[in-house]
Amino acid sequence: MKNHHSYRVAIVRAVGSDARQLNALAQSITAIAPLIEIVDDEHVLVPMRGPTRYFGGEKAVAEKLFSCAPEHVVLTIGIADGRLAGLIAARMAQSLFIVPAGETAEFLAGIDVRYLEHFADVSAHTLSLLYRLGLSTCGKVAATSKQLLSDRFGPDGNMLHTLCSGADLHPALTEKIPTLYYAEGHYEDPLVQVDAVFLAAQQLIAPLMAQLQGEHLAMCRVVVTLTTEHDDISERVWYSAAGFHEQGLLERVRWQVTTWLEESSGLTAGVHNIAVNVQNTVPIGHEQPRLWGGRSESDAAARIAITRVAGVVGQDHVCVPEWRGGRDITREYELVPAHRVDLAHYESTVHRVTPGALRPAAWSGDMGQHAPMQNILPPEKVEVLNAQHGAVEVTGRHSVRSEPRYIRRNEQLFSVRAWHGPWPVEERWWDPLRQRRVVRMQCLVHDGEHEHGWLVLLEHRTWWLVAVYS
Amino acid sequence: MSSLELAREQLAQQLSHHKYGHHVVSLGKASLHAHRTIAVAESFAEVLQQAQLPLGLVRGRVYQCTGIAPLSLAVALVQKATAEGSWVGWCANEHLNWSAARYAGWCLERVVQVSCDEHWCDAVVALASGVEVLVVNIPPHVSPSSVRRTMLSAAVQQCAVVALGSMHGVSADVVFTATGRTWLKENEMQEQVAFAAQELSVHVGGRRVPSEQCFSLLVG
Repeated sequence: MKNHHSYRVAIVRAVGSDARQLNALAQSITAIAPLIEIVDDEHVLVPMRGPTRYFGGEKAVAEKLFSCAPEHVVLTIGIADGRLAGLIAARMAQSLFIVPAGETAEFLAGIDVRYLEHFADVSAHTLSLLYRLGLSTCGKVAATSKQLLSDRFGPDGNMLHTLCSGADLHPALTEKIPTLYYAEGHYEDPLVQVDAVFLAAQQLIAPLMAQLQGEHLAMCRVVVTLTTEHDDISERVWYSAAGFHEQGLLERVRWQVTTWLEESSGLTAGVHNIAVNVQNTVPIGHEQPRLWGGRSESDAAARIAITRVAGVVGQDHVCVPEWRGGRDITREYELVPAHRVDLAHYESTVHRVTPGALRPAAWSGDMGQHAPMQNILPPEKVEVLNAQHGAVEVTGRHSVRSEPRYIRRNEQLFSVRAWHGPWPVEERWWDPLRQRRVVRMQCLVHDGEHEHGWLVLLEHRTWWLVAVYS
Repeated sequence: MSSLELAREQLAQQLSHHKYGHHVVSLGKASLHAHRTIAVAESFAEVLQQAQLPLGLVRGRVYQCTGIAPLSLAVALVQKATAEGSWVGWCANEHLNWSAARYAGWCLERVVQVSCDEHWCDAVVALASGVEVLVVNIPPHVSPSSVRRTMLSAAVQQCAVVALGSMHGVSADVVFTATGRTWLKENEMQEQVAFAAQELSVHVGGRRVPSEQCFSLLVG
């Protein structure tokens, strides 16, 4: 059995870096330690076993890593026994935070489970349930029996226990391991355009994904290697604990290709070889095929269009709605970038937009089908006034002290023709940091020409216009 | 005459010269994907029929929703399309309330939103290549000629465009204008009263409409 030092990792956080700077950082770190992983657009994971021995200690390695910082980029480094602890340590660090070997579980014990959403892709729904069960810290989750967690959360329960105990689902690679699945493309006419390389990678990855899916597996650690005619090589290890979906992996390959081509040294020849090595897989659930088999033609066409439009306006500007829940009718769905979700599998797309099973069918104050069609983002501050032009207040019993007669929005006064409410809404009462108490009210207002339907909300004695019936 | 119709006629002639040709009365007309209309709710289908228009959204045409409730009109117009498997692209500045859209019958798994202002024309053309219905709101800085060019590109890609509000002088094929509304209440006998729905008075016009119509539409 390997000791704790086998799994030590350093997470390098490049604060405020862009893609080009992160790539430059990754290139510099590769000279110190091979097999690094780019975790996301801000963090790079460095396996520590080899470098620690070579440079004589973790602090010495950290100094070397700090020296890799590109211009105008500030680095913070967290060193721990696993990814999660490393990421949290890097976030907490002023510059360097070392969690001593073997003490990662103790370090995590006091950490709020909310960090798991950001650092371990645990769903907000699962975290909400953990809170309601009283398991608000990683220590409490780790102290709960693995069997109990598995019974309550299914496969996620096992994962939660492993992460909160300070272990990694897939420890960082310290040496090259045998390939499980492999796809390689050799191109007689070298590929010189980013789009051509991307398309070629897509043609390699899509069948590989389909093959794995047939075996109910998803690739979770992949090494993508691009080689030019002049033997310039770009090799990146990509990791996703939950397993990659096609779009997610392709976006990472696009990033790899784009940043490589933008390097200051530049490329002297086109890409003539692309290799995809799958080194770890995770089991995935079964998916019922569509009625006529396979995927629908329009779904495939839409996915291609989404990739295309992301190339025009930027990935973060192409979004799809995702169910988040809560009692705020304007925030039940949140827009998430399309490249971060799986659009290829029907089951997961349906799951993404379907309200959670815990959503009550009806509750006092539920607007349900009467929700306004247009959200005002960000909400506009308004004044709800009575006949004497004084502010309308709401009592503790949720009734208004005086009748609303006017609403002032952007210095324009609207007369209130009719109003309904106020209805109280209390959200996340179990969470002292995120709890919210508001009342909301429907108002029909007139501007002298037209009548408008508004939804206004009172929070901390301030009225906000949050949505309109457009 | 299109190549398909020409081929069909040639085939009919060949068959008519065949010794069993007299059995051939007519050949069924093939319905290509591009010729099929995109489904709309019954209330719209009825009024489109009265206006002597195809019973659905025709690919390549521009539908404008305007008046006092353009968003509700557009959501109602597109609802059946999402429910029957069409992808909808939302390329508008208005922040649609996705919960309200779901209650209106939208299948949100086939919706994508693009937020852009600067590259609006390019984004619309790119998105039109893969979605069947595109809901757009034309930014003020886009010139009428750019709007026309963009709409033409979308039409070539067989995408039905639903424009919200003003089209900057460019005329739409069909224009739905919400001219008036009545608020309907729920639970009037109970303590908790709410405005539950709007009954919109809608006028249908536009350059492709031979017979202008008015109808009432109930929206959430």
